[in-house]
Amino acid sequence: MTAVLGDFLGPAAEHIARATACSDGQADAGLAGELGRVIAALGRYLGDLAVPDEARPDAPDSASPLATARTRQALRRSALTLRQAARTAGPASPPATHPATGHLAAAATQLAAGHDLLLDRRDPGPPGPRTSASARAGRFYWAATAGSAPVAAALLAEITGHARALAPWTAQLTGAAASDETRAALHDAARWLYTAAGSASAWQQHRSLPPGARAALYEIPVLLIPARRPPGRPETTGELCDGIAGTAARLRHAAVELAPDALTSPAASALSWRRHARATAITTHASYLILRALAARATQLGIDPALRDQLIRAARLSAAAWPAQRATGHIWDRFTTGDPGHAQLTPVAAEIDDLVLRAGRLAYHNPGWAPGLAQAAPPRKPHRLAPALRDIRSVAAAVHHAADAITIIGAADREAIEQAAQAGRVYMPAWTLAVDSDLPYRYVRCPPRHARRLLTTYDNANRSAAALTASLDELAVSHDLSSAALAAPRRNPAPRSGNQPDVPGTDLAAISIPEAGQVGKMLHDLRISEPTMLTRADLADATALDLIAEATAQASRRNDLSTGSPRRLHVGQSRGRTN
Amino acid sequence: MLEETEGALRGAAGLPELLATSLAAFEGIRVTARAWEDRVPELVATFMTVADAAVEGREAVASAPSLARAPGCLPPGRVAAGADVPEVTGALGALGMLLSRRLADGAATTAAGDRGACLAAAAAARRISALMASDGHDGCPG
Repeated sequence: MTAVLGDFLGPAAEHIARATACSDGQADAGLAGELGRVIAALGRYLGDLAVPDEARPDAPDSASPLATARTRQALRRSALTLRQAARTAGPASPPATHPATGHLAAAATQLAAGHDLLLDRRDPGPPGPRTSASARAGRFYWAATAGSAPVAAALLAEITGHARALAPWTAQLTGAAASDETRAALHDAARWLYTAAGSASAWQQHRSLPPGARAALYEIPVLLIPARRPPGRPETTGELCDGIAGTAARLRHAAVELAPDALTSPAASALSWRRHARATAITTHASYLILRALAARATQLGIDPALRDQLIRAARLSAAAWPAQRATGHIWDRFTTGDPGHAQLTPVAAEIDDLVLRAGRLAYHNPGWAPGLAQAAPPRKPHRLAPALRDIRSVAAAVHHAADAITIIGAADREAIEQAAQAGRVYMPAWTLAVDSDLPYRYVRCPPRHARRLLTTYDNANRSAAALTASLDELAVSHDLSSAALAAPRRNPAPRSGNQPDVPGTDLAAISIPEAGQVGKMLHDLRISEPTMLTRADLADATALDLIAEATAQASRRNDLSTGSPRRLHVGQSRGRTN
Repeated sequence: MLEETEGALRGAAGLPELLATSLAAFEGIRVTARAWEDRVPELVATFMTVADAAVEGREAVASAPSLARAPGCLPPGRVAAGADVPEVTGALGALGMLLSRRLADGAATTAAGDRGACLAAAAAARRISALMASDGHDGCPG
């Protein structure tokens, strides 16, 4: 079963609801600290939203960029106040006694875990250095979905909903504060939470979001990268399906992780790309045999005609996809990247045969299937592959996992190969050019027309892979397969920039955003508690934030126009191109 | 024909000739395997993997310093038209085994640069032989 963001947001919401239902108890520094953790975690989710001006304030389901910026700043301020209070109390302070403390701690953990896994989806193991590459890879799905207007709007609604619940409860806690410092912190935090909650009309807009928007948010995959489990002994059909899902998750991650380093990594080589191509072709061919058998079995069982028709369609698309994948293997017969003795294997190339073996063992009537002649076997009979409907569902989900990974690998490879060709790292054996045999070199740099042929072959393969994956997305979502979450990035794509003229850009990093809430803080320091003045201070701060957010958005728009590239994960763009 | 390539490989004298005939042999295996990839559904993966190994073997041979600078257009051997699956797999397996032996022998008597290339090519040939073996064993020594 694929973990999704909802698996974390849902329990977190429950814990927050239970915490805010606790009305008795002394609000101590420990409680303030845990409340600060919750609020900080909420703010971090908003920190991942795309550049503010990419949301569409005119659209009814869009998260207003100004509201997003204001909410994020307000949550940060609120959390900072509470955590400072907790730090001031120090570790020697007595243990927290308020009954809500446990729920807040659990909510903070759920929120933080969900967010961390979005950013780095490795299996939690021994602590080690996080590379920037792995962080980039982990952001793949999140980057692809967080920029979509419906998802951004749903996220903002989710976060402001929690702020609306926490604000009055936090204000109420001030009456039960264990110390003056805690009371002041809770008071300050409550005011920031009210700011984060936004106006009543904004809340009405959040509540009027289409139900699909929240579902899209909750369905974002949070895929742990499982440890490698090479196929050894013969596995049951269920084990093969689980193994394919796990292998696909690892390959997906590895493909995206390597992409930014494709130009410099010795593993980005013809040796690796050839193996990727061969393995994806064999796996897609196996997927074709599997889908064909599933469609036949669905017909035999006389089950849901919609499911049967979708399986037939996917089988047809896979029949078209595997020759296109095979062509990428063929094309590498004529290209190379240099001395094979110095080439290394990418992590994808090192593990992709796990996918080949498992897909083959599902497709063929031999639990010990391997590519060798000795292990060859006819395709499995439909009733042996999937005796019942639940087997059809689990096997189709496994094929979906494989297709999704293949789509990502193809897009990443295409991008890397284009970079390598542009850098002059792709060669052709001189004798394959059938020209003057007196050439003094064994290899010649790949001529541009041949490079175009290489890339066109990948484009064709990626298009057909994307079509197959899209059909499996549809099947998985409409029949609620365990792989349905994989469809999220394609069903809620981030917006893309259009044609953009060349204008000078602005270094956004050079724009310093002043600390939010300076006016309110000043009144707080002056120990002003008069509500009207505090409200005016909040308004002044909010207006300042709006102005800064608008100016930042305008500068960002100008930069996008000048660079001609949206601020998106590069591989995500490539993936989009192939869809 | 692959039989001719096999004969040339057996008779190759000296490393440059062995490398040149090995290059042609790997190319013959590749061309034949590619031609058979989609003829038998059960053997799609087998022939694709053999072709892949043949390209790796060819690339390894091509990196050997003693290979003639630019071998010119190679006329790769093929399995005769009309052959059936056992004939094709048998021919490819036998050629793979012969390649493996000749290249391993060549590696034992050459300098470092050529040795590495010969060993890598011999390993690719051994994979071809193993893939084509009906009992799963490549029949190669070592």
